[in-house]
Amino acid sequence: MENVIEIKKLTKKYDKFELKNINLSLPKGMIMGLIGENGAGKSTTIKAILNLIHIDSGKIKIFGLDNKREEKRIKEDIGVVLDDSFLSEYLNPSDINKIMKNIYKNWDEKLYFKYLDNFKLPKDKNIKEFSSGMKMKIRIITALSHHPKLLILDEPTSGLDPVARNEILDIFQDFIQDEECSILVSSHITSDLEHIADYITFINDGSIVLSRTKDELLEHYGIVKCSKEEFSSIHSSDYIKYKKNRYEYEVLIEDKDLFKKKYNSKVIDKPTIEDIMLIYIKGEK
Amino acid sequence: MNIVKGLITKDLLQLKSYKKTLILYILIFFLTSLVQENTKDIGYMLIVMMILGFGMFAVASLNYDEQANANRYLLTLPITKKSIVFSKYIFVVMSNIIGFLFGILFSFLIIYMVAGKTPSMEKFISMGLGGLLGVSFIEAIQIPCIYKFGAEKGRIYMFIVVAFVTLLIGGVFFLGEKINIGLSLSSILSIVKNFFPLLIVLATTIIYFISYKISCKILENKDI
Repeated sequence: MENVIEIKKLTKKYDKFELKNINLSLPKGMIMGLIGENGAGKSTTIKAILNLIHIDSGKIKIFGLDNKREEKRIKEDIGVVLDDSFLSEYLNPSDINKIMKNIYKNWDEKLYFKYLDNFKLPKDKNIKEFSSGMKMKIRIITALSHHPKLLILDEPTSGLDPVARNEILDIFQDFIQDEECSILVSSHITSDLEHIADYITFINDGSIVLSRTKDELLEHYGIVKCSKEEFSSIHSSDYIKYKKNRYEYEVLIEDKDLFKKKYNSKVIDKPTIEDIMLIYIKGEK
Repeated sequence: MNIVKGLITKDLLQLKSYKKTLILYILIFFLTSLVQENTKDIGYMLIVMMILGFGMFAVASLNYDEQANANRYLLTLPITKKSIVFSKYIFVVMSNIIGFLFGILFSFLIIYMVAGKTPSMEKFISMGLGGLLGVSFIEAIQIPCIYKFGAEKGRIYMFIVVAFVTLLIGGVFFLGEKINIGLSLSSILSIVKNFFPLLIVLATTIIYFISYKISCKILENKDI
């Protein structure tokens, strides 16, 4: 399968944080959810992909092209939504159109105004006066109106109410209907990604802990809830991590069928992505 | 070139809220000139004030960019760091020139129509070009400082650099006079008088070029 994003051995060192040997591939036509707690390295990885930071080592390819050498060409075909930056809030949607039509070769004015109508965004009101949901929508619409082949979104649903979050997730679902298009989306709201993602990549403390298809993750992974005595009978190579609660142990396992056979275990819970993330972060080995 | 046009459009549109402040600024200076006893002299000063006002207007766009963290966003579009810096300098220079033209217009109105005197073209040019050089000098230091340290800290560093450069120039003049190497103020002034417009245009171009190169370097090395 053709990869839209390919990262090999990416490292970036800061004083108090480091991205360690990141390898990541996003196949064409897929949505990849990048999860991890705040400060885990999600945004830094996205910045590296977009060549916003100087990396220490590694190779990044987008559409098979080097992200530094072919930067301008690549950026004609991607749409980006960042959590903490956009154009000035003293601009209105009509102003944004006037700016963007000079910037993107493929800027589609008609599509942009159609999106504005569909999402009931006023054309002549400054963004400053928009609600959080409207502000996110205008960013997403701006990212979509030049027919990008890849969307890169950093925390697009954080701080939004469930209705606005749902509307935004619907936009992504529509975008991905064209199988040529792909999305890389970072979020710490894992339930959103459970809705839309095909792949889940989990970053913790600057390293990729896992990167698998969502179905694989949710079908094969399991959580065994057991007593201290039962836990002591489980060999450490048969679980990923465990979390000690007040009355029981929660043990995260990678292959629940194998575990079932080996330990004759009857009750293995199906984890959510959040459960997996929590045990990875808070658990012990 | 389209990208630069897009970026300048952005700067102009995002400063539309600043429009009222700018009109108020122009009105205040225009009206104060009218009620002064020496309306004619104040009329000439108006050119400098207009260049300063429009220059401040242009530099304010850097603050708006910083508030929205716009440079990071702009670099996710097919825009290079060089284009961002280049468009900013074009915008600043354009604003200064518009300020200069407005200044001459208002100044003419005040001197000719209000004070009833014939304006001196030589004075217009010398005040205007002198004002341009002064404002360009401040901006040429201010812009790289903002790129390096941000708008807030950049202002402090700018004052430090301006003070340092002024002291340095003063020191060179002082030394020149002391050791008598022909760098006395009077000899410089006579050169300036003879080649004034040409020198000012040349000096302004040079300081902007150096400043532009420094800003490019700063942004190129910066993690956005």
